[in-house]
Amino acid sequence: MNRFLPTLIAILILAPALSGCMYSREMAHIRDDIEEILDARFEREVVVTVGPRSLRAASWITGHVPDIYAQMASDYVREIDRVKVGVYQVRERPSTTELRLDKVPRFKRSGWEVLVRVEDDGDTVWVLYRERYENVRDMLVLVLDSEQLVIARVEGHLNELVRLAVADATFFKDVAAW
Amino acid sequence: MNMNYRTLFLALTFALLVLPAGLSSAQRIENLPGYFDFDELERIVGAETTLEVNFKGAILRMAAEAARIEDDTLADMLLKLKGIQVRGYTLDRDARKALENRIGPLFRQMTDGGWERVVRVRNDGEFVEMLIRDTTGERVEGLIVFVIGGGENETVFVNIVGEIDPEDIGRLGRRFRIGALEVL
Repeated sequence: MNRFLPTLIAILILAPALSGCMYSREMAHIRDDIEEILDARFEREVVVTVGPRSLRAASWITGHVPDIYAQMASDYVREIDRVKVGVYQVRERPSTTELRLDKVPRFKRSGWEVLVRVEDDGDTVWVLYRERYENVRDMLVLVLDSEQLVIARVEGHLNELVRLAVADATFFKDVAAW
Repeated sequence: MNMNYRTLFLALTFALLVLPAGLSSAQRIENLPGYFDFDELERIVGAETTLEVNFKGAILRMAAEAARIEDDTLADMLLKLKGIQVRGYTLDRDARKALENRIGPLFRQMTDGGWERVVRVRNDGEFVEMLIRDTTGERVEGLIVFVIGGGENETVFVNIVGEIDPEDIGRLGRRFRIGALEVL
């Protein structure tokens, strides 16, 4: 029993941090919806979830690094609650890149809106967002090329994240001008 | 007496359930006079969009708050807007020429529907039209700019929904790097 105790403790510690590494039902649903919208087929390669505990730990660690950029990163990460990234192999190429969300009522009903779609040299990038109580609470970034689809979902206080990023950009611009 | 309280409670519950839905429907960008539905235009263009941008609701407010750090006037202007939509297309020379010919009836339909043409440029392969909508006679409630430029990636259509002073359009274009608006 004693032999297995350290392994069991390690699993219990790592499980919350790496939850979703093997499978994420939510990412699978998003993948299924995107397949239906684009009329394509994608096969999962890897899905990684970074949860609040890991993000808080990352924020705490970077916050203690004596470097201004690390401290900025710490402030940004603090505003993020969860990040999920899925990488999928393209099995059947989509017949269109227009993301007609109304094609899958479940997806449309869940509140996703297209913020930006850019197509360039065979690559397509979509940025979608969802509002909750008049704030942007989660974003979905889809990147599709001829071989892979990457789905990244970010949850958190994204309004505050953007405000911080703009404030920092302005600060650095002012310092450079000075 | 108990019955009256019950009726009042039911009426209040009903109002609380229905009122937000009614308000959100009334405030939907698609119901505003300055909104332009790009679906019909996409049929006229006959090509898939290669650039799509939709700023509205919380995203627009977020952009306004971000802009406030540098430019208070721009932030106030953004808060008056209800939405910004941009569509871009990659078209070769022949497709651009064909589009210039096909788009005429759409402008006639729009002017019949209350849009007013304020800018029209035809110059050496460049085609620019700007239309505004003002249903109250007091302020511009929507604006559309159609640009069919000389290059493959220079066909861009922009719709701004909400109260806007035409003099501020250039400022908006510079902020969001919308080339079609920067020149106005």
